[in-house]
Amino acid sequence: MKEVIKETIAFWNNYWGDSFVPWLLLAAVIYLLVFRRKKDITRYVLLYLAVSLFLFFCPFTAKIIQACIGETVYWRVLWLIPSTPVIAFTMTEVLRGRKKAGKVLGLAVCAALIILTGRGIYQAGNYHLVHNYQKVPDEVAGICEMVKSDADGSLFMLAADNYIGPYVRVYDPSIRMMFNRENRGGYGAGSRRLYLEINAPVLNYRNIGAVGRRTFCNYLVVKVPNEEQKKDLEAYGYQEVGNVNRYSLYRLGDSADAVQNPILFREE
Amino acid sequence: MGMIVKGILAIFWLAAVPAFAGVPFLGKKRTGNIAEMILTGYLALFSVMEILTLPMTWLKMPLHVLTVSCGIVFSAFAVWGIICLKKQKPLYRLKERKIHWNFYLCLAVLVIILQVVMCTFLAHMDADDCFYVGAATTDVYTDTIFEVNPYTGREYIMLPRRYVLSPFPVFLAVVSQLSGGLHPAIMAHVFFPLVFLPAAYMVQYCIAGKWFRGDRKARGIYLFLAALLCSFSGYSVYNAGNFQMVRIWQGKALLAGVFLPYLFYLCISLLMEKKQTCSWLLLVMANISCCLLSSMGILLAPLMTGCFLAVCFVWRREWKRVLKGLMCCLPSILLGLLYIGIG
Repeated sequence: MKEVIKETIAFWNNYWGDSFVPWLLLAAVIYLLVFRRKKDITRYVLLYLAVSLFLFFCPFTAKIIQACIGETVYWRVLWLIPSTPVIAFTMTEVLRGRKKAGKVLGLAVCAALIILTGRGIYQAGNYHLVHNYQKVPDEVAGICEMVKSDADGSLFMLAADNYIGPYVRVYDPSIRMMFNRENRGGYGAGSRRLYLEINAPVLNYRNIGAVGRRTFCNYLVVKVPNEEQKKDLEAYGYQEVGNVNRYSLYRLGDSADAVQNPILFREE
Repeated sequence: MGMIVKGILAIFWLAAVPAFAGVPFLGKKRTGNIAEMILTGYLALFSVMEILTLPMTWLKMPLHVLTVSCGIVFSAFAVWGIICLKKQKPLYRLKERKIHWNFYLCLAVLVIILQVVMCTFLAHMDADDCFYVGAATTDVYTDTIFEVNPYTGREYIMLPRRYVLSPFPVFLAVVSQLSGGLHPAIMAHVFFPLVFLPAAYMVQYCIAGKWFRGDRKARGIYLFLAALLCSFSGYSVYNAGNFQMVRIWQGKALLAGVFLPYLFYLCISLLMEKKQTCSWLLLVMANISCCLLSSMGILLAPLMTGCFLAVCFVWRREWKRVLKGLMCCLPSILLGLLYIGIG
């Protein structure tokens, strides 16, 4: 039981990060309890908040919910807590009834409180500019266009790292992948080995080439290699097709169908 | 078909159709504002989507059959809504739906527009897209429903148990096809934020309407503060505001940002207020819609409703309402049992 309580508290802390928003929520609850306790809205909102918090923190209910949805995503139960409505409602209640100047000034103070206690979405580095409508990394769009034109209608398998891999089939679902992020969809020990090699902190191009050829992977997307690393890949039959920013596309053999992947062959 | 035509079609299916489709479900006594029309419309469309998709997935039917079926049902709902609107008195129609602007509401709308512009024109990279958007692109490319693994493009040996009961990627595939074959990634990353981000604030506007009845300025202030709270929710990647702001095109983000808050609103309307202002059918549809969005919705929707039922029981002591509320959760409970059973 202690473990469940510890986990629950860890989830709570992770959910709020290093922000002061939970303190803002607490302040809102105290304000409502002290100054607006007779309002119906206050009563049912605070009662609901209490029940949902109990549900989250109580180790018995936590254990049951975790058994249903999984332990790792238990934090999603916190989506039931109406923090935005409660904070916004309380601040509006504070400002309500004040004269115009007081209202505007109060609103500025509330806005400043929100800005200081939280963290801007843009500021947190969530958004980037890309140059394709599908809004995938530009390298992915470039690699997909390059591989499609090089393969010229042939069936092929492609392997890429955790940066490129997840978006390849989002951009172009006709491309078959050896595996996707975190080796999802990967089949067999060879595929797992290739996944580990292509995502290694320090890339060993000789190993990538060797495992790629052994698993009949027609195309490899790797970080641009130096001259020596290029030779390592070429030693296993991989030929450079082209580069897009930080990534290079390599093909096994002279054409996309020079080596037939047994998985594709079986499917055909 | 040109990109502009596809874009117009996307707006038609994502905004115009839900707005009209929502009218018949608002109840006879009241008409609701445009926000309620759109949100209710989505409840109807998502419920239909869930009901149609589940059997078609098990029967391994092609995607185009589902697309045609959804197109027909969605259009029928929209036509039904237009007929319902025409039956209302013209003056009443205008008065009811008019939005009363003030300085605070303008400020709120400005913040929301900035958010929409950021989400629509910039890109957020989320690796979860390889399943949620990948499943839609794969289904469109192969004309199947959950038959091909979006991670690799190989056929599934068995159905993906975690996702099959919550086929929101199939909704993405269907509306992409209905929009003249618009690429699902463009639909998800450009048009979904354009529609669903304002939808999140429509929910907050509805809540404000309930809590600050007759005080338009307070509604504007509330909406501005709610928008600001979401804009500054970058403190963790787990909170609902962050999900809403960075990946609104994924079912779970839509659940956290739009549909759980709307369920919160519906629960208040049905269980907390003396006079009920909407139909129980909406609560059923909200529960089913949450199931479509995410497997998490299968559990979180009845949990939220259950919390409100507990409050209703303690505070109002009305057995009838509690029993009716419980009945509304039955579809979710049924799917929940199935989820645990097959998981």
